[in-house]
Amino acid sequence: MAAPNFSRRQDHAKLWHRIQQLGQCTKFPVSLIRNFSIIAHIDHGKSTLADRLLELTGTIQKGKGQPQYLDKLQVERERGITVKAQTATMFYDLKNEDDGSSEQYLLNLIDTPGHVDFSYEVSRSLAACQGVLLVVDATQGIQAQTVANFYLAFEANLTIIPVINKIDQATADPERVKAQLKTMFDLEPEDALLTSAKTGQGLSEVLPAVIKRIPPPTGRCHLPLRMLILDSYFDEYRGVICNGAVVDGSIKKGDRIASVATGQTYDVLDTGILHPELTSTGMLQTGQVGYLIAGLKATQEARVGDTMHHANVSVEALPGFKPAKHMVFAGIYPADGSDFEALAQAMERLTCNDASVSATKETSAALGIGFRCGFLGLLHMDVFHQRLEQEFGAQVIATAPTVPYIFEFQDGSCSKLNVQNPALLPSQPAQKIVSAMEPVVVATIITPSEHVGALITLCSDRRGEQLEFSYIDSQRALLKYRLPLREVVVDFYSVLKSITSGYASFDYDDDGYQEADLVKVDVLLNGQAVDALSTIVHQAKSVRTGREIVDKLKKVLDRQMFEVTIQAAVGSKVIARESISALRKNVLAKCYGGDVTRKRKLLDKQKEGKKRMKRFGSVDIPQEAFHDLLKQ
Amino acid sequence: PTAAYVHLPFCKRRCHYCDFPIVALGESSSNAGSTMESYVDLVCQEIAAERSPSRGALQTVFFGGGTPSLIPIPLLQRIIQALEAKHGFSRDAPMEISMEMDPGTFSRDYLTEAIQSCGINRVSLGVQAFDDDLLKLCGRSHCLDDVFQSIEWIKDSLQNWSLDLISSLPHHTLASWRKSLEQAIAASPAHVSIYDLQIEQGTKFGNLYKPGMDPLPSDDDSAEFFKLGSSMLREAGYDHYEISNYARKGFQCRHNLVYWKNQGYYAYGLGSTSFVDGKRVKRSKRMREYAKFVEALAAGSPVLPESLEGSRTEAVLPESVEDRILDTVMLALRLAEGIDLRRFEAEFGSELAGILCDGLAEFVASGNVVFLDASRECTAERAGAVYGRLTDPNGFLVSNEIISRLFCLV
Repeated sequence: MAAPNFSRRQDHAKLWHRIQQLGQCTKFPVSLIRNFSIIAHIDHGKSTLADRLLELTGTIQKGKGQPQYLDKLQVERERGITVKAQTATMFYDLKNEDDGSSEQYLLNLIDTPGHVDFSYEVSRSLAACQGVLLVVDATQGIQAQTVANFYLAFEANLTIIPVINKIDQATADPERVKAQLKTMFDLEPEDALLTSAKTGQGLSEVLPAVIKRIPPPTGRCHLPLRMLILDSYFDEYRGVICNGAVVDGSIKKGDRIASVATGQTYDVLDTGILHPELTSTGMLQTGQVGYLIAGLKATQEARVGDTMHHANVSVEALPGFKPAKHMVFAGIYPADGSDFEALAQAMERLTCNDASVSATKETSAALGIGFRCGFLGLLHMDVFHQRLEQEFGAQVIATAPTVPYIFEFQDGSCSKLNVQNPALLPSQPAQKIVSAMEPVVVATIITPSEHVGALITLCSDRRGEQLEFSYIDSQRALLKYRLPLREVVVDFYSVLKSITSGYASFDYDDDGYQEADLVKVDVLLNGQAVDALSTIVHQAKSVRTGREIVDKLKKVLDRQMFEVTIQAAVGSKVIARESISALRKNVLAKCYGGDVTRKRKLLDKQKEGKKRMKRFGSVDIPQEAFHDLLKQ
Repeated sequence: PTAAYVHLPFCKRRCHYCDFPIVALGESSSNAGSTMESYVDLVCQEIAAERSPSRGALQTVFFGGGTPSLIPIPLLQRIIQALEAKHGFSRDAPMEISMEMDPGTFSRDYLTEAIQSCGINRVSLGVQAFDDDLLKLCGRSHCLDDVFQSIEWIKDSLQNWSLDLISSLPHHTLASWRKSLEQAIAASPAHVSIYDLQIEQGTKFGNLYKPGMDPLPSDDDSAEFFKLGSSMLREAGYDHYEISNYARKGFQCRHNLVYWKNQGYYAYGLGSTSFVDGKRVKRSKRMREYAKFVEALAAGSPVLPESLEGSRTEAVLPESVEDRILDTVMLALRLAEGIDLRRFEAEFGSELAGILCDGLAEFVASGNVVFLDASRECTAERAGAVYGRLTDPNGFLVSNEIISRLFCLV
């Protein structure tokens, strides 16, 4: 997070003054509080709309600060996406049209990520809301994530305010979008707000609608404190900072509080609102969303979904969140095999910040000591990888992503093996495999109708089973497929984008497991398996996969002093083979008096290259080769 | 040190593969004489200012270039006199005074004078190729007729001479390379040097060609050229005593052996590197800065990096033990004699010697390394091994791989 600049600090001082004067933040009755979120398909203008609302309420100054205000991570700005939910408190004076009087409301905007991988973060944010703005791009209409996010809000029983955005664009067709909202979600056309976050058109309608349509929080002021922890992160100067919603009661500086999950007690050192920077108010009342600093040592102590209460009063825990479900696994290793400690530190701090990642230590003969990490999806994995490098300066190698398989062996008791790392599945198991199960998802695709044919071909190539095929209006079709997750995580999304020129949208939801004919493909160099390269695939795809890996490996490996055979094998059967002929010549012709230092430098460089190599039997593989090989 | 190198950087023109510190005079330079004279003044000044005079007299002198044979005899004489005055010339062993000469740059009289009045007793003739088209392509200033003429004159007056060739030139094929080797052998020199062409950045070849890509021979072809050179020259009675060097018995270049045995040597002149008292000093490649260096030296300033500021001369601190170990390994393995394991152990300890032996042993099975006993017979017994050497030609061909691997271990 960037340090606030001077002018923002001044703004803070002003605000602090305002709060002092009114003594007010603590005096907002629940009826004057609204907690809401903005949900949308990616690029439909969610972050820009959030920026405009923050400006409109004077929370940030127009033209100051960076766009996408709530997207604080470098990766979010670079990719134009929201990864981490953020919160901002705004104050808004609602005019009473009858008598011209006005009343001030406290509004908490909880920003959410839009991508499918982060629906876990979305549902977490929604737990603190009573309503949502469902933003739909007037030029694109409903997209796959609109559908997914709508159902998240709908199932959470939230008030949904449809906002049709980008109406200033030439190709905007708000009427069509209204019709889609009606057919798909049964949302009334007259309820839709029409806005352009770019020109400001229609924006003044948004917050009044929030106040009028979304109910206030349901908590009770007189009940004992129950605060739901929504998120936590580690700040270098202030320690662990928790964001949370006060569901019942109130919390103030100096209170002694306890965690339901751990029983640990803490003193509240500071509490306040996010305006949008941390702004101490000394107290949070029922219905408010804000931060809490209570001397927690590590973010692990601040479990997301945990309930905080006053230490001497026992309460019933709030319903937490279902734990994040890890759909994709990959090994993460230090790029320079030796630097495990630095990686471990970076991992610890980042997982503090992103509770949805699981990490357990593992060892690979090829890559040394590292972590097996579970992610919500591929984008999540990419983002995590990027954050490790950008925020923690860790150079890492990630192994090819895999999905969690379940294998059952015939050994008296039919033991089951969960495989999150293909290397751990025996290549030639002693016991017979009774069944192999792979995770499947239900994918929703919304596409312009002319691409339906190509998408059906793609889905059947990916072993998909069609569940639904319908038209949402005259130009757009909705396809639903059950697909093996493995087929989705590899490159499904990018292929889908390219065959539909980016016009189709896609989302998926976990749908349990199905039995499948799975095999492990091993990669061998001169007969020795390289654990980091083994993979589990469907029998029908094994030869293609083996061929791809072997070809790629041949490209990245340097010639060695002897011939190197590269093989892909299923069990003892070789399915693809290549060889790299022996290095014939690497010699410095001349070396006289003046050359000694120069030649030494050259050989020292070759030595450094060699030191970074991993040895398999007799074959050296440079760490860079793994990097190239495993790069998506 | 008992060896001195003198760099004489003048050339008629720059060859297309050359990135050496040279001064191209142009074909018809009117003031070439005075340019060379003031340079020789500087060199003589540098010799006179030498801080670490030889404890024993010099045994070898090597005039390298550039094209030393462009230097007028009187100037050459002055350098010889300066060297002898400073260090003395050995009387116990016969002196070896080598000079690089290029065909087409000297006359029969010049050669006679060099031998008789300067004491030159070994010539290294830069033939490079036996093909007019290739010579032209390389930007050499001489033609094939010059080559034959020079060889004839040299053979009339000297036995100890070397013929220098470049392999893997553009368009070289195994057949054309075989022909060059046959012609080299027919000239019957006492010594042959074969340099595999290195494409250096910033040279004309560097701009035109990519190593291993047409019209340059592939790496596999270059390897074949190396093997062919090795087998043909050995058959013709030459001993392949260093990766790039072959000699008839008794005609190894004693001066160059000083480098490979990691012994000290003086060096004088533009861009040259000396190795005195365990310290390598690399002089600037620029004339003005080299002149500054000599000036500072003559004025008695200490030869330390900071005092040489502005002269672009790099003086490295005395080599660390690690440097000495690595230099020893790198240089000794260039020689057919190999690395003397007992001497290595005496100098660096038995633990390190053991590690080195283990490292070398990794390459025995593949036939790239052999261990030799005291009588230089191959031995499979590590315990009785006195030398470890790279095999010829296979071990030599992948020497970088082996040496850099050993660097990882020691």
